[in-house]
Amino acid sequence: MNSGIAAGDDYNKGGDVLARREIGLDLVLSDDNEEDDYGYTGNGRKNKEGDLPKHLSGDQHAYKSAFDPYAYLNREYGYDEDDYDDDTDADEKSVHKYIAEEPIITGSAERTSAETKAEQVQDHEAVPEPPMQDMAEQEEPAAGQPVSEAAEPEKTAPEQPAPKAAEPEPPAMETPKGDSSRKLDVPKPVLEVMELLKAHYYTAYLVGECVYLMYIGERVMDFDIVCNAEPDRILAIFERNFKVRTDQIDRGELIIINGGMGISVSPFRSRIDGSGKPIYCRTIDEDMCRRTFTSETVAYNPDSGIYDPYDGLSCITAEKTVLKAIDEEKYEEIERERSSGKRKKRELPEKTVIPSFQENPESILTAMMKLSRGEAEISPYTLKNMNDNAGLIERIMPDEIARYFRRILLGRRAADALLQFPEIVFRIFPLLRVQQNFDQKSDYQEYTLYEHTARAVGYAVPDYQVRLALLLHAAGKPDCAADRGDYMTFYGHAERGVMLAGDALEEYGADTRTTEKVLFMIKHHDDHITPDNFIEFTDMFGAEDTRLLLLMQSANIRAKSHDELNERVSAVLRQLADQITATAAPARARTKRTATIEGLRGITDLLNRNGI
Amino acid sequence: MLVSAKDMLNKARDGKYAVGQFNINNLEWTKAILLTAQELKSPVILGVSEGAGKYMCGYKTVVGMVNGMIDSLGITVPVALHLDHGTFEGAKACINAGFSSIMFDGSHLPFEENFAKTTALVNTCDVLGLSLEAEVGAIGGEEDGVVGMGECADPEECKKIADLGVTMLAAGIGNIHGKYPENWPGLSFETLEAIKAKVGDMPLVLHGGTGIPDDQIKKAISLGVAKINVNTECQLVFQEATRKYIEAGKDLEGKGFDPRKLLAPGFEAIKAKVKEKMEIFGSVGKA
Repeated sequence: MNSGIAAGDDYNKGGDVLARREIGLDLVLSDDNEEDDYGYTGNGRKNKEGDLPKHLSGDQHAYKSAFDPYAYLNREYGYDEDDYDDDTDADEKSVHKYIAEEPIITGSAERTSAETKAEQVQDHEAVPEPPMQDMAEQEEPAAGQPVSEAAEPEKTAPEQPAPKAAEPEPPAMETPKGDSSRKLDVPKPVLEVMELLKAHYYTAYLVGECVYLMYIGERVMDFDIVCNAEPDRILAIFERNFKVRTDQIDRGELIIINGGMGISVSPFRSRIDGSGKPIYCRTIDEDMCRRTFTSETVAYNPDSGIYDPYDGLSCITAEKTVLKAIDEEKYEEIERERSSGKRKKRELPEKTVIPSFQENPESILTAMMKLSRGEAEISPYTLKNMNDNAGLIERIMPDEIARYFRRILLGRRAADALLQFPEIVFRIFPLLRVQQNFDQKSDYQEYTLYEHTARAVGYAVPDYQVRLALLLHAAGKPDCAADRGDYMTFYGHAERGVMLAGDALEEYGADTRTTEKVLFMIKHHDDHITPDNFIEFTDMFGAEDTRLLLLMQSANIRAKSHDELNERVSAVLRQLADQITATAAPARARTKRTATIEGLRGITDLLNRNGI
Repeated sequence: MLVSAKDMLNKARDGKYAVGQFNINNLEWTKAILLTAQELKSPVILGVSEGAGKYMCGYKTVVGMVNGMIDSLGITVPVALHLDHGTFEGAKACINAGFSSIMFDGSHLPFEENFAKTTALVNTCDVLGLSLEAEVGAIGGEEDGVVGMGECADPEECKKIADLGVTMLAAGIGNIHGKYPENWPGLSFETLEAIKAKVGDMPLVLHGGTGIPDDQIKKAISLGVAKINVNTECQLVFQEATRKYIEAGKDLEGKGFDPRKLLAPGFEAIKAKVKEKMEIFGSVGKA
């Protein structure tokens, strides 16, 4: 299953000719995507193959799918591969047929809604379904019958009186999955929304961040509900009594305003692309397996409790969240098998890639960002796999990468993020790669060059220009290094760094002003600013630039080695920078220089008096 | 309060006199030098070699002792506490301990390494407001087991190091640490002039002040030397006075064994020597 999803992906050479044929199909069919109302396109189906619930796939499935890409489709929906191939019309027809017919299967018996509700409650309480067993039923691939039957034991659920005459087909009521012993405290407005969905026989879950925030007892701002209703049904249910925001409806998402909260309600979606339409699906499990990390796959239903098929809660505590890719262990095992040579190499893909990274490379940058912001740790194998497959991020638009990277740089644990994700950083700034194992052979540089760089970024004030300058400040060093045996010299590295960093920033897409400031700081990063002479520097560069330079140098010095002395020097430079902020920043550089310099003289006196 | 040597040396250079650096070894030394400086209203630099620092239980002890003495003796003349012939590590340790002036001696290193390490320290010292002395070319004499015969520094190298922005520069001009041999040809004023021409305003330092004839010292001062290091001479007079005390049997009389009595003649001898040197250097009354 880790092939074929990613058109143009060269990380997975495991799929052979067949897989490539599939990619071809994928591309052809993607044109049809727009035609469908709900994304149930042929293409969508095919993509769903990629989104096959991971827990459903046996060990062999990962490889099998490369050769039999539609096996899953055929099993679940009974469609023929041929249906998708040429005839778009036929394809769409069958899709609509599927939607239209579905409720007829499920809603055959006639009962009143009250009776139904009562029975459901009773049913639920009397026979709480062990979720794992339930899934096991779904997993039965040999069953050869539509999953809908297995997954919806209540297919005899009665027809409910349609709340809106316009909507003829009543949906199937599923028993929500979960462990009813674990309940969370959900705010009333959210409960009301969920109750209303339930009253219309839809199964709804709270998912995503809100669940684990409630679980660890944090304040929740955004609630996300997913359910098995299509967007226009959701709209129909809510628009009469609630204010509904529909600006995200292209992604299938509606925002219900209730009790002063904006509550997001969406259908189950097995895929959300950045641009294209989402692909809807029918079960919470399919919705979950589009998600990347186990912490995102905890769902909650007020009746059935927490549903946690991937054991996401084990990664969440009040202290920290560990981001762990779904089925991490499985992929780790595959990789171990390959490296141990237990299985023949050709049976295994050349490179182990966790599929959700392939489907959603942004998740790698998201993880890096969360780490940088101190919101999460990354599970070791997930981290390794991300670094191994760093090339995936080249599929993200450059300006998108830059947006993520900006946030990564500004995080309070930016140094950790840079050190734990070196391969990602080297994809974005290839010129930093040589720094990784670069030993400066110096008494006053304790770390390898890359570690020094990363630490410098981490020590700096959270200013984008300063941190970007620190990231690139040593770019010229490897080129200018002259090894003299016991030590090294780096004459001219600042100028060389400006050249290299200039090219790199252009590639990266930095704007002109940022580039200008960053190059300025790199050029002067070894300039020697002291309490005695910094008035001359402000004369030369202006107060603002001198301030940036001081902030940059302060972090750079501190990152050289773990040393009390460096910290003192760093603190003095930082103090100078802060003083400039206090006295000179309003003047903004050159316009009121006289006043500025008066201010600075005062500071020098102050520092002298304090013996600094 | 301890001050950087920068101001006092710049003044000395402009006023054509030299500030003495007197090395300290223990409490008596320190007290004698500080009291003499205060008496003569002379700025003074207290030198501590790494060995002496170790002997005095580490740099922090030294800083504590000197600061305490400045306070309790009511010393008002400028006093700099200076690391003499420091290694790179020693220099950092002294900065951390609170020295106000540092000498980094990279003269035994390849010039480029000396240059690189001096650069690093220049940055640090400047930011922290400390004075930094650098050395180019070995000065003769026995210094960590290396014996030279009054070597002279290369003026070009002096210029390169001076341009880094050090506060003062020690350059070999045929001087030697310790006692001078019989056949010593005297200071090389040609070298001194050449160096001075290259480094411009930079205050120069003359190491090995013991035993250089007074007229040569005065000439060196007139050519730009602003700091002169004295160590051995104080040791010699201390030893001489103490030996006399013992030989006269005074330690056996009454309470003559009391260290405060036993060390007193040596203490007075140091005071006399320091006074004599300050008068020669011309720093008396310049504080």
